[in-house]
Amino acid sequence: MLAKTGYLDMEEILDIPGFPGEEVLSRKKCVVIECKQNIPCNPCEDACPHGAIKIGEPITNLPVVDPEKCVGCGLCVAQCPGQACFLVDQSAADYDTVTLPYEYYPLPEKDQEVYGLSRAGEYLVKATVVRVVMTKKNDRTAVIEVKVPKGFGMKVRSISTDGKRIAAENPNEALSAQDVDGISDENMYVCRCEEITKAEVIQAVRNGATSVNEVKRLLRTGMGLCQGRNCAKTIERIIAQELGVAPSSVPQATKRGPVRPIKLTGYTSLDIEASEEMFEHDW
Amino acid sequence: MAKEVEILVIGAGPAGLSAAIEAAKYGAEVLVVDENSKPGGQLFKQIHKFFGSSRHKAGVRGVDIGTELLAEVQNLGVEVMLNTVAYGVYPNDEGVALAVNGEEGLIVKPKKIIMATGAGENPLAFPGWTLPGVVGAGAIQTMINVHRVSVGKRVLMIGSGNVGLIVSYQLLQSGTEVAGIVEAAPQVGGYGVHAAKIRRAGVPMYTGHTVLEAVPNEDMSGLKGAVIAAVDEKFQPVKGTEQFVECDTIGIAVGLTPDIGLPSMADVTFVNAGRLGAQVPMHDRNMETTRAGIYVAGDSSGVEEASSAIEEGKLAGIAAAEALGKIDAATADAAKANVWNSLNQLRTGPFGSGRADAKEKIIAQMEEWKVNNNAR
Amino acid sequence: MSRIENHIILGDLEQKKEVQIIVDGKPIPAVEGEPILAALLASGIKVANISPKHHEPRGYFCGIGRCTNCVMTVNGDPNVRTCITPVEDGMIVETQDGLGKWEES
Repeated sequence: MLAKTGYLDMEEILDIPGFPGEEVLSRKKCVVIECKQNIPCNPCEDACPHGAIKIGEPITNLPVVDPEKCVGCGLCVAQCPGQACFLVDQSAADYDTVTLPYEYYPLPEKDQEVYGLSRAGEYLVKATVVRVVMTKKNDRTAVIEVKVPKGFGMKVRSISTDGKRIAAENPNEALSAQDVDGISDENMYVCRCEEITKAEVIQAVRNGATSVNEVKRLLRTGMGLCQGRNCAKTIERIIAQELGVAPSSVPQATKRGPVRPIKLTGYTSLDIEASEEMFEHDW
Repeated sequence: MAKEVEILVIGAGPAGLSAAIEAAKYGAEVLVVDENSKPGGQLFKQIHKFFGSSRHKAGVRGVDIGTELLAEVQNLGVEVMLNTVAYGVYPNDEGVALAVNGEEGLIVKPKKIIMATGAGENPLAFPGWTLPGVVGAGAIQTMINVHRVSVGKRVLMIGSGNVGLIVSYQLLQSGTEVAGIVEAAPQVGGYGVHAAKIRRAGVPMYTGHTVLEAVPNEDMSGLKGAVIAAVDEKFQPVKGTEQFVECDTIGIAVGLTPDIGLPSMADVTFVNAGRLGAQVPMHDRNMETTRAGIYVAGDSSGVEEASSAIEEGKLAGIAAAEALGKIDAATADAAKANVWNSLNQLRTGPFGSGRADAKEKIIAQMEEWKVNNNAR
Repeated sequence: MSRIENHIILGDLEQKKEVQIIVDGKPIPAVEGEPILAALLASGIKVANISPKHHEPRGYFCGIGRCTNCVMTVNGDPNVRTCITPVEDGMIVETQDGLGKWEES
């Protein structure tokens, strides 16, 4: 499922208006638009010179494919910023073709044999490059057509020329209870500059600190070189957790100039008279 | 001597540049300052094609949008001071303090200030996060896309929002292996299409997982991997699910927080913007804050995307030009309506409508504030 | 670690003037105009400083001058943010120990 795995499964694809249907693909080359999230986007509609893709208003409508108007030119394949347009042709008896967007170097050459990959990046089948289109209009997105064995037209969605970018079967090592024994975030640094740990911040809150400023005065968190840029948010969260309140309700650290690290000459070379108000504080 | 200018724009990212362009188009005298040596904010790291419609430059890569904006700024003759940090704002008409080249102080007294200071990456603390090799996702993007150097051989990404997904994709494009994406929530945070691109390139997605620790190499000069584990519905690690992921770099992409240092110093009123990122300056439909003449735009007024930052920048630019009397109300209203139309398009759908609601809430609170304070 | 020579979107790496910086006594190549950090990463150097209290190695974190984790001693000045400080030919860069010291002058 797209939301959980990051790619569409076949069931989802059958359900979107960008899929023209198996019947169409069995008789002609046609675009398949694997787009189902209603994001505000419509370059595919503009890209099609034949009006085969319709989005209309609002631009969050899903693209609808009119298969009879699609001539399989592939302009949308390069234009779609989400790289969700593919051309599929299942009309031949003994092979299918897939046309896909590709933005990696090196580009394959015509007739080169490449790895055909699934939506999950798994190696499925060998594919043969039929054409590589890299026009100025495509703006550095190559459009590559590959020939795949019959039945793989709706399965192959990526290629690898050199064995890179292919999903590994067991990418990681499982760890035993012994390996992970002793992993604890108590002693991790919260404030990188002053090297103050989470345990110390928790203790400060238990001692009565209720704001980022109070923790700072007790521990020096946020008083190092970065001036709290890296730790303020984490400290807010720890305080919130300890006090059982929302992080947004924890008083934030006071913000003062200079808002970036500068040399003191940035101040001393200023041609101004100090006024009372400039030294007003709100603590 | 203080430098006088009609509009000071702080930050030359998408919001700041767009604000400057709009205001200058209407004849305002604009000064843009930015702390970096190059303008464009984070746009030059964004080498992917943007979403939206043609009016939002959809299908164009962020880096190219940046180049277009810069060309426009130059054509309009807007003054841009780089390597210039706006380090303080003094509300009692003392102006804005700048440090030029990090050392030489300069006071600017603008009639209007547009603060487009962007956002900073959220930290995520876990045991070992201080080891060399544990870095922000933005840092990775800067190194690989701007400076063209590898950050490591194999990277584990924490966070599946659009930043985590896009940076993972760009790592693959740079020839770097991505060991996986770890996401504590049960589902992918960013756009499915971004996730699909990296899944089909073989990158594992660990939804419902957390990182327990970064494991150092022998001399602690770097990493040899990370321990990750599944989490339960309370986000607590589940014993027995631990895995060791080999990697020499860990990228942290767990959201952004608006950079509100300068607005705070300017004493504007803040509101909690929920999903737009904690505290943001309260502002109206003109992007004007509770301090008249101080505007915010882009991520510093609530974290969204570069496309929305561009539109918000335009709003602030038009409104500031109007307030200076450069254009009449009718012209300004028509221009603003056009921008709002464009913004509303971006803030729709399952991802955008939450942002639209959050923005409307900020604006509603601002209107209430105006009534209570008899302002404007 | 290395430089990213070819890139489908960014194109081939532009040939720029090469300079040299001295890191802990050893010369390493750098590209004119790039931040010190980029040159260090291109040579596989990830440790910028040793933390003051517990003496642990630290490296860059934000890469855009906000977090100060990448500070090193540069030409005798401690606490220089290497991620935003451009290289100069012959620059002396040293792993900073703790809070760093100003060179006696």
